[in-house]
Amino acid sequence: MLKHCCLLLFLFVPFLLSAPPAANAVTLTASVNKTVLTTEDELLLTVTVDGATGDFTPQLPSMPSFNIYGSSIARQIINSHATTTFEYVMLPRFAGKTVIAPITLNYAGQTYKTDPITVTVYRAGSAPNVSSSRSAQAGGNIDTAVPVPRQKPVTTQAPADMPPLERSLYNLAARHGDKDYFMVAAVSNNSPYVNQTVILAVRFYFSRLFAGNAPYSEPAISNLFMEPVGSSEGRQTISGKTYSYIERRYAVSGVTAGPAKAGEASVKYTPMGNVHLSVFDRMFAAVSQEPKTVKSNPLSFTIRPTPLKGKPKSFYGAVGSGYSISASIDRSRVEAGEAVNLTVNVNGPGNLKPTADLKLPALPGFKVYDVASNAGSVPNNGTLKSYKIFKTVIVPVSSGNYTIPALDWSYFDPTAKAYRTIRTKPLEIEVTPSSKTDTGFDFGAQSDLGNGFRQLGQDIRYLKSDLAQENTTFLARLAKLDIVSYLFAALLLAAGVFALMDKQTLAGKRALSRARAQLKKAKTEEAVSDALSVYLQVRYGVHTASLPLRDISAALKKRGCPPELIKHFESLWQHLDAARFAPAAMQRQNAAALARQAEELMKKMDKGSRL
Amino acid sequence: MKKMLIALGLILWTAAAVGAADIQSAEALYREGKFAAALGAYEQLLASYPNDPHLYYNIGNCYFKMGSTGLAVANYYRAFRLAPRDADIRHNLTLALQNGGERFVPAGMPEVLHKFFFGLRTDELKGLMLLALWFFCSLASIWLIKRRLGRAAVGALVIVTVLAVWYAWRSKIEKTPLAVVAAPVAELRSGPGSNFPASANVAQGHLLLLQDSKDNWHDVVVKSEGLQGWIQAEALEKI
Repeated sequence: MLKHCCLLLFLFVPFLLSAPPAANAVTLTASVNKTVLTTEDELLLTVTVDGATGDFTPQLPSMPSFNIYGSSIARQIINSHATTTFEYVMLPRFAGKTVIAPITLNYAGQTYKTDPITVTVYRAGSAPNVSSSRSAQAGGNIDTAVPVPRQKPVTTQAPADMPPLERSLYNLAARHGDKDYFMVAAVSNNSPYVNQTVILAVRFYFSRLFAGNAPYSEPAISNLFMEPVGSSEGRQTISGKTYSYIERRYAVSGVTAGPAKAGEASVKYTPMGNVHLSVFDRMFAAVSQEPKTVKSNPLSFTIRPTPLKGKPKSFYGAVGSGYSISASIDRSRVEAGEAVNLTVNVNGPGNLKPTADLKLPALPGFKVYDVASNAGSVPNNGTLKSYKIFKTVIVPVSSGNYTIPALDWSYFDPTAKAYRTIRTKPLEIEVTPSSKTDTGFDFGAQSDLGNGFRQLGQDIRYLKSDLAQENTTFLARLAKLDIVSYLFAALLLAAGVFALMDKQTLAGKRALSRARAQLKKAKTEEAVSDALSVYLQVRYGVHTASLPLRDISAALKKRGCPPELIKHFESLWQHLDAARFAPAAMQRQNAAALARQAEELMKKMDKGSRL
Repeated sequence: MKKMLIALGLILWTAAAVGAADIQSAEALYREGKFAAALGAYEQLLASYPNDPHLYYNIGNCYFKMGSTGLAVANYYRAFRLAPRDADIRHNLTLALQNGGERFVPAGMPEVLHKFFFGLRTDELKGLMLLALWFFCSLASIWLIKRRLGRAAVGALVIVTVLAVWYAWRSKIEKTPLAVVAAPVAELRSGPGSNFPASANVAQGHLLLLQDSKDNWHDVVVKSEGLQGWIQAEALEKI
C-alpha cells in the first residue's frame, strides 16, 4: 500500500508543480491492452496526451482492484506536434468485472477526461481465450467534453506524415511483430555523395523487460565516417503488442566513391519472463534467463562522387547545404613587421573533418605562413553540426592600407545537385611604418667629430632619380667575346706548331744572329775565327776546336753543306789560320775584311740550308 | 627599312619617356612618405627594366623606410652586384647590414682593398681577364716565331694568372646561394620542420648562406655568427 501511495505521489507531484502552457487542440485518450484477463495477467493501461507540451501528468482515478507496479513516460515530437504516452503496468487484485474510472488531465486551465474502461478479471486458469484492447478518448474542455470511446487500431503501416527515416524504421519493426526482442536499422539515404552526411538509426525493440544492462555493439563500417548524434526512447504498437524501443542515431558519410557498408549492430540481453511467476516474483524477484543476442539488419551504400562539371577551384570537399563562412583578424592596425592572426570559420551540417584546408590567395605586401585547421562537430537535433576553423599568421612587410580580399569557399548542394560558393567579407588592415626603423635605430648619433661638427645621425642616402645609364661597359662587352679567345688560342697553337716544324731554320737564324753579334765586336783574326766556330757549332753542330781542316770539311759535307761553300769556308779558314799562326808568311788582310768575308759566308750557308 | 628604323626609334624613345615619368611619380610618392605606394611603382618599373641597379636601390630605400630591413638588404645587394662602384649603393647596403648586426666589409679587411676587390663587376672582370689573355697569346706567339718579346710574354702570363684567380674567386662568391632574414624574427631549428626544437632566433637583416633545402625549409648558416640550422622559406628572401 505504501508502494502504491509512493507511485501515486510520484505521478502527481510533477503534475501539481508544473505550469502547463496554453492548450492547443489537446486530446486525451486511454486504452488497455486487454479487457479480459486473469488474475495472473498484466494489464497495460496507456494514457496518451496529444497536442500538449510542457510538464503535466494525467490524474488516475482510484483503482482499488489493481496494483500499479510499473510506469513509464514517452514523448515524441514530430513536426512540432507533441504526443506524450503514459503507461502503467497493473496487476488485478480480484476476479470480477471492474471499471477503470475516467482519467483526468488538467492542462492550461482546462480539464480533460477519458471514457471509463470496463475490464473483466477471471481467476487464473478459468479465463476464456479472448482478449481485446479497449480505449477511451477525451477532448474539449471540462464542461463540454464528450468522451468518445475509440478502439486503438492495430497498426502495421507507418502514418503518412511520418518522416522517411522514422517510417522506414516503423515498417521494418512491423515485420517483427511475433518477437519479444528484435533490432532494426535504417538510413535516411543509401546513395549519398562523398562527404554527404546521412542519418543511420538503429532501434532495439522489446516487449518484455530484460535483466540488468544490455551491452550494445555499434555497427562495423567500411568506407564510411560515423559519429553518434544521440539516442532516444519510444514505444510502438505492433499487432496489438506494445513495444518499447531504444534508438541510437549516427551521422555517416562516405569516404570515397564506391560501395560502403554498415554492418549489424547488436544487443546482448537477458530476457525476464513473467509466465508462471507469482505477482510477488514479478514485482520484486524476477528470474533471469540465459543471455541472448539480437542483431540489426546490415546496410549497404553506394557512395557517389561529386560531379566534375562546374566544380569550382574553391571546392574543398564539403557536401551539404546551409553552410556559412566568416573571417576575422585580431588586429586591424599594426606596424610593419608585426604578425596578424587571420581566422576563417566555416559552419554547417555534416562532417567537415575530411575536407581539405582553405588555400589563401596571394596577399601582396604580406608574408603568409601555413594555414592550420581545426575541425569538430556536435550533435544537433539528431543530426550533426560541424565547424572548421582555419588559422594563419600574416605579416605585413610594409606600411600602407591593405585589404584582405573576400575568400571563396564552395560546397556541393546535393538537393539542388549544384555547387554553391560562399565568401567572407573583405578585411581592412592599416599598417603603419615600423617604429623600430624610425626611432629605435641607433646610428651612433651625438658623436662629436672634434672639428666643429657634431654628427646627429645617419640615414640611407636618397633615391636615384633616373634609370641607370647603359650599364654595358667596354670590359663587359669584351666578356661576351669568348670566341675571340679561341682565335688567340689557335694563333698561339699555330705559332707553337710552326716553331716545332722549322726548328733547324730557327737554329740557323739563332746561330747567324749570335755570330753577327760577335763579328761586330771582332778586332782580330782570332775573334773572327771564334765567331765562325760558334756559327758552325750552333748551325751545324760541328765543333772546330782541335780538328784539322779536312775533318771539319768532311763534317760539313756530312751535314749537307754545299761543296762550293765548303771550298769557300776552307779558303777563309786557311786565311784565318795563317793570319793567326804565320802572319809573316801571309799577305796581310785586316780583321774587318775577314769579318765581312765570314759574314758573307755565313749568309750563304744560311741561305744554302733552306734550299 | 628606313621607316622601320624610325618607328623603332620612336618606340624606344616613348618607352624611355614613360619610364622617366613613372620614376618621377614614384619619387614624388616617396617624398610624401607614401613608401608602400612608391614601392609598388618601382616594382612595376622593374618589370620593364629588370636589371636596373637604380630601381633595386630605390626599392631597397622604400623597404628600409618601411622597417623591412631584410628586404632592403636583399635589394641593395642586387643593386650592388649590378653597380659595385656606386657609392650610394655601397653606403646604404653597409648601413642596412649594420642595422641587422652584419658587416659589409669583413673585420680586419681594409675598406680600400674591399672596394678594389669588388671594383669591377664579374662580367667586367671577365672582360679584363680575356683582354690580358689575348695580349699574352699575341706575345707568346711572337716569341715562338721570332724569339722576341719573351719577357713581355712572361709578364702577360703573370697578369692573366692573377686575373683568373680574381675572377674565379668573385664567381665563387656570387654563385654562393645567399639569403637574408626577411621576417621580423626567424627561428633557427635543428631540422626541417616546426616539430624540431628551435636553437636560436635570428632577427631580420642577417645574411644567411644556403646549404640545402627540403620541402619548405632551408638549411642555412648565419654568416655573422657561424650558426647552422633550418629556417622556414617564408622567413627569408633569397638574393
